[in-house]
Amino acid sequence: MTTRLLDQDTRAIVQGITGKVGQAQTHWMLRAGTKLVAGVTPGRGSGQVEGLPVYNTVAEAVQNENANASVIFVPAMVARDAAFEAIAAGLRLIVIVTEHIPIRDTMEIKARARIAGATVIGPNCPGIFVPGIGKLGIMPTSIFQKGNIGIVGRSATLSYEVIANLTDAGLGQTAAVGIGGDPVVCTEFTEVLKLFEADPVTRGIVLVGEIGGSAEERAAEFISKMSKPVVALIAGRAAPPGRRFGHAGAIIRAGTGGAQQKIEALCKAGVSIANTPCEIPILLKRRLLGD
Amino acid sequence: MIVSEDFAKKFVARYGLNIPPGRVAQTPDEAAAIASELGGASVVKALIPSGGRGKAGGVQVCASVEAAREAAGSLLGRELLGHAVTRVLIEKAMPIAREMYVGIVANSATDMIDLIVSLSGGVEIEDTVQHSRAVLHLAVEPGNVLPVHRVRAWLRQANVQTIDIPALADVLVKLYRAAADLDAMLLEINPLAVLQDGSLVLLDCKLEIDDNGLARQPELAELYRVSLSDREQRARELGVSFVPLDGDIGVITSGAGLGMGTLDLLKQQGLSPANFLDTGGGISESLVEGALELIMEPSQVRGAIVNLYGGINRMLEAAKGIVAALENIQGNRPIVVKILGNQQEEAWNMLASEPNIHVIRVVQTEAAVARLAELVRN
Repeated sequence: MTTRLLDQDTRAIVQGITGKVGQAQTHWMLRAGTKLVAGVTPGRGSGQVEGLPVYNTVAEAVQNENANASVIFVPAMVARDAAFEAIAAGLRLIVIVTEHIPIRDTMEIKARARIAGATVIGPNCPGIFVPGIGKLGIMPTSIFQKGNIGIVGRSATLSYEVIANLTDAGLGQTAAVGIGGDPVVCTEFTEVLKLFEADPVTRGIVLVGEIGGSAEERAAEFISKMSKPVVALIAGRAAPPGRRFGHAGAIIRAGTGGAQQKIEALCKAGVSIANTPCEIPILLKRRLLGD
Repeated sequence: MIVSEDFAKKFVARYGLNIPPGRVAQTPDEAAAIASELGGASVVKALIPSGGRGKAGGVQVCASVEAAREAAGSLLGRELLGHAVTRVLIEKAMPIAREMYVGIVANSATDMIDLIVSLSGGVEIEDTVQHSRAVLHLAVEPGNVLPVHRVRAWLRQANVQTIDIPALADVLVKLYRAAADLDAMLLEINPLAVLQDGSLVLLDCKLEIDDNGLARQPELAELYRVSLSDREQRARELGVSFVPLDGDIGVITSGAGLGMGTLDLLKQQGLSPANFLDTGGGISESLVEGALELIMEPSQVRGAIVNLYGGINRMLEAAKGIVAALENIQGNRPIVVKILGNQQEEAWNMLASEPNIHVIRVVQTEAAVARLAELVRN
């Protein structure tokens, strides 16, 4: 897949590489073939983790290893600073896996990234997986197979089930992007859909949405102008309003964020709506043959 | 989290904003004593975490100490907008010349902090804000600095004439800073009163906090902790997200989207969830044990689904947690377990011989839900 995201030119660092999760996930990202060049942990800049040099600052990692991307696993209360550091060091792609980051911090990260022209994915997201290239984040390698379908989702584990269903049905993937489950995410559905629309290998797209906010409605506006078929699954149709379902953003309030209005907006834009994960490959095959 | 008015006022008053003198009462006698201290005329307000309180009769103006006692008596113990009233706030009645509305909103659709001012406040503000052009709106980049000169220039440009602009700008900047410091999603003053001497006083204060900010807000975190039910508190200690619901099927999933997807499939099968428990990313034996005990605790729970996508977590730990929980779970209630991830085969083998456990070995949640439907109907 040719995208501005993860590709053969990506040279990524891991911020928070010496933490338990950072270290374990570094191992699995390397196993998936990802080009990781260094780790960064303030105050721990010496030695190696998983064979990668560890630096005190992102700037040092950029200078010594020519890094251009980062995946962040630092604790929530210091994640804003880690993202600011990555943006200031000129990195073009930053994936924030950390969850429970205060929403105002995310808003500040997003504003700064926009000014710097950096792409930030997340927070509270599983990251990016590109079969044949690798992954920045935590998606399980075993469910993927190289192919022509792009996946973009707010939830991690529901997207995994969708991807596993696609692979089972013989529909491989160009890339999967988890944009995150928070009320504010730094990259929205629309921006990822634009990449899939422009990518010559991608033939069809699956959108995994859920209740809360209006990101799906905004995506629908762009989808109505797309040439490629889109199939969507919206989670939370059975969820009562006013309760927050695991994701900070998954809440129906004051008449907005309900599943039905998202489904209606997507339908109007020409999206095929799946009622269950199993229906997705069936609908997608139908659309790929029909279009 | 919605912070109750008395605490919200206490927090914002630290920024040098004026609030009416007053205290909280839990009995009519306490209310009368406070009203007497305040010198007679008072306002008695039900402390509930909800808007629309004024319209619902939760705010009563009282001319005498006896009236305050009666108002407190009528509110305490009552259910108002779905909340039990256990505390009332007694405040001194202020000599109001005019009422305004001020709101500071972290707008997740635009990624900006919105300052909203209406020069005419009051209980109908929701309609005014949506329909009237008399509402002033300033979008500020997120952060904690809002220069007062910018706010003054904005108010001047909006041709605000009947209010002292420097005084109003000062209040707005302090509110903006308080909202930033407190991780507020919403800080709403309705009304902001102009008194007869021209001073500005916050008569009400609605504060809604981003729960993700609680980790750096020790005072708010303590308020949050004591507001939780026993089971919610246990869930918090386990580090899981837990939502009690009305039905009779227990639900554990490793992730919010998978959880909501599972609820949707249960509904399609005519089953109704009793709860929703999201383990989050880190799955350990003790977490799964505590989680399963929690969701099976209500006696109306007829059966449960455990739907885990463990990734690199060791799923044998999850299986051990399930086995440990079974010792403390009453009755013959079926539990359908779908576990995928690292060590999935070992986990399946461990659970295969457990009574009441039904292992699903495919990726499709549909299969697990169908099996559960079959089991609870027999």
